[in-house]
Amino acid sequence: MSAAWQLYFITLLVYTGTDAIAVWGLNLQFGQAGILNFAFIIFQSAGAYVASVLTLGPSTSGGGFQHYILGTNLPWPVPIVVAGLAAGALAAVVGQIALRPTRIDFQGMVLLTVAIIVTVVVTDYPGLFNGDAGLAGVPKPMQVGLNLGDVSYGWLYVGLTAAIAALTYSFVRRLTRSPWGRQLRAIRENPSSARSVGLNIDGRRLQAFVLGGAIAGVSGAILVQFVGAWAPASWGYGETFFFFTALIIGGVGTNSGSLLGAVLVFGVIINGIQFLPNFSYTNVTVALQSIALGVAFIAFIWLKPGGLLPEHPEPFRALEADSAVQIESSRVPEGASR
Amino acid sequence: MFLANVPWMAVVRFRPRPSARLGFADVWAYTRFWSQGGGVTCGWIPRASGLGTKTDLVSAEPAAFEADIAVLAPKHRSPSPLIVNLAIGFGFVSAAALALAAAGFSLQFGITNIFNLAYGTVMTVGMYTAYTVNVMGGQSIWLGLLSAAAAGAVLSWLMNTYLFTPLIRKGVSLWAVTIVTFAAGIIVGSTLLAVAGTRYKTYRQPVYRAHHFLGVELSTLQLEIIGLAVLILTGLHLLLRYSRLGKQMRATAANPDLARTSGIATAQVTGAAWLLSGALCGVAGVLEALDLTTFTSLTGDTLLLVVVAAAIFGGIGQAYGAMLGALVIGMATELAAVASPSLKNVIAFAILAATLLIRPNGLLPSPTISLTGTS
Repeated sequence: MSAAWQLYFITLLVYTGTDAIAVWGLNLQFGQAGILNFAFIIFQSAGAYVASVLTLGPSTSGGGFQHYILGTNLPWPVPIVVAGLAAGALAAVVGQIALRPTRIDFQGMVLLTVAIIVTVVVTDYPGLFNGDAGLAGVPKPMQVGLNLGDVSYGWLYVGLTAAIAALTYSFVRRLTRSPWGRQLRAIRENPSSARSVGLNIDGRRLQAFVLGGAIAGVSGAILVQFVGAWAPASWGYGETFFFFTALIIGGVGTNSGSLLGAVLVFGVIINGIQFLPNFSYTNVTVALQSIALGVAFIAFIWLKPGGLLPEHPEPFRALEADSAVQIESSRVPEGASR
Repeated sequence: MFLANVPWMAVVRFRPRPSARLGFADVWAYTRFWSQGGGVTCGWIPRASGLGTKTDLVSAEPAAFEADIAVLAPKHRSPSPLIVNLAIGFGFVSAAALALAAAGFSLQFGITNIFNLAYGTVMTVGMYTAYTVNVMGGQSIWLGLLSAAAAGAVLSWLMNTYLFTPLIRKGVSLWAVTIVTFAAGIIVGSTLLAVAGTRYKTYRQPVYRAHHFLGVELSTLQLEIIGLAVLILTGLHLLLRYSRLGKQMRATAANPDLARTSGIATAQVTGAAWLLSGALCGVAGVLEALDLTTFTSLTGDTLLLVVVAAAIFGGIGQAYGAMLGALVIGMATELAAVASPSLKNVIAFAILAATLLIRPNGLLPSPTISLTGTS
């Protein structure tokens, strides 16, 4: 395989890995807790920014051609951890405001305006995050010390991404199988009855929102260290829609479905086309991809709303063994909450 | 810098562009163009949009511009009374266009309970329809406005009839339909992007005279925008309050099941709501584009932010609340722009955030979502 094609697959695998991590984060928020997080991309973006400034060194290095905050140079994987914490903290702040309305579509609306405003503010105030120009020259972790060629280093990075993805998978899997995860699903299915049996639904939602945000931040951090640059234009609020499409196609609520959706949407349709060697990627291609994904989204909602790997109703004995609360909530008749 | 060769341009102040997704120029100039008769047209001109060069303006209105230069460099700007007065004028115009958009958004939400995230895109479709009629067809902007209303109405109606309603009948939940509206918006918006590209567009229109009211300066165009909005909103009020359709709409909004049992054809009423909301959206889009002077295929998406802020401020689903929200947000954003132009969107969001913190379900929430504050 030629170097160009090897680099193509490396890029594809790293992107798909990070997007899969992100979709797991969104699955926690949307699939499990039922939060319509239309601002999802800003948490990924925030994580990417934090990881960048923690590896770029002081702002004055490189002749001070770009302006940023917090410039330091921390060893891998500290920037990724801090990026996750920072994105989680941002989610805690945003969640305090955006999760206040009682209806989830109302919350989604507020989150969308949050995403739009963040995009506008970041680009309109270059003094904050360097505006449109963003950041460039983000160093790749350990590249200097290892002294590897582009291709071998690329495969190493694929390995690192896969390792973090595997960690994230086991983490979200444990979370969704825990009583905590079942509480989230109870809230998602019927908030009123969940509240009536004593669940703190605002608290649980906020926890899921913060955890999902932190996971998004980690994914952004891994991606930015691979790409080497951060610009607000590539983290536009419209991108969030593609994460939702991945979830709907793969299967809302299931972690394996999230992975499948990420592979199909990002690995094949978006990045699979975008990074083809010798391929001119134009506005029209972008438009066609968006149209295709929009149509796919609607087709799945229409014909196969559960996605390719749908969530199965939990067997009753699992509930019996674990949580009396869950049984009570599932026994509340549909109409009772109205 | 293009300012050097345009003697007829009076630059009052600079501001960063409000939407920055495209990588166009970073600086917008606020300009006033004086005609021989003392006419004035106001607007924000993006520096690298193509408009703002002498050729474009002269070809739009040959020999209409007289030299009147008063350049205030961005660093030496201070909010003079002139700028504040202009900003108040702008505030009324923004509020007028915004009120139409927010009323349409809230009306449709109140009746159907669907958050229409394609609303911004429908606005953009209205802008381009008017552009086709006005610039490519050579017709007046008012005919363009009418066609934008028709386009918005038809597009909204089609989306509801062939997409949203069938999905709801299948039992798809409302939040899923919300994401479907997002998807529909992306499909329509991407088609626009592929067809129309990312170039800035501007309408062909005459140079307008300036008028003064109580120290506030407004151009004929701005007066027409305000007048038209007041007219349409009054019509909407009369429709909702006194007509049979209006009563049916309010009944459907208050309780769809009860409305249906009382013999109201709720499907038709819902269809009418989408038509009405789409028409308001199309008109509002063109008025916003006239107010901003330029637009691209992404302008509507950015406007969605202020529309949502106004709608939520007033209590979502309440057409009158949305109008109130539009007035507050329109004025606040334009006055904030005097202090620092890019504060505009930040202020809109700050108002939204404050509303949510104090009254999570809006200023005028009601137990049943109603269209009037009195019902």
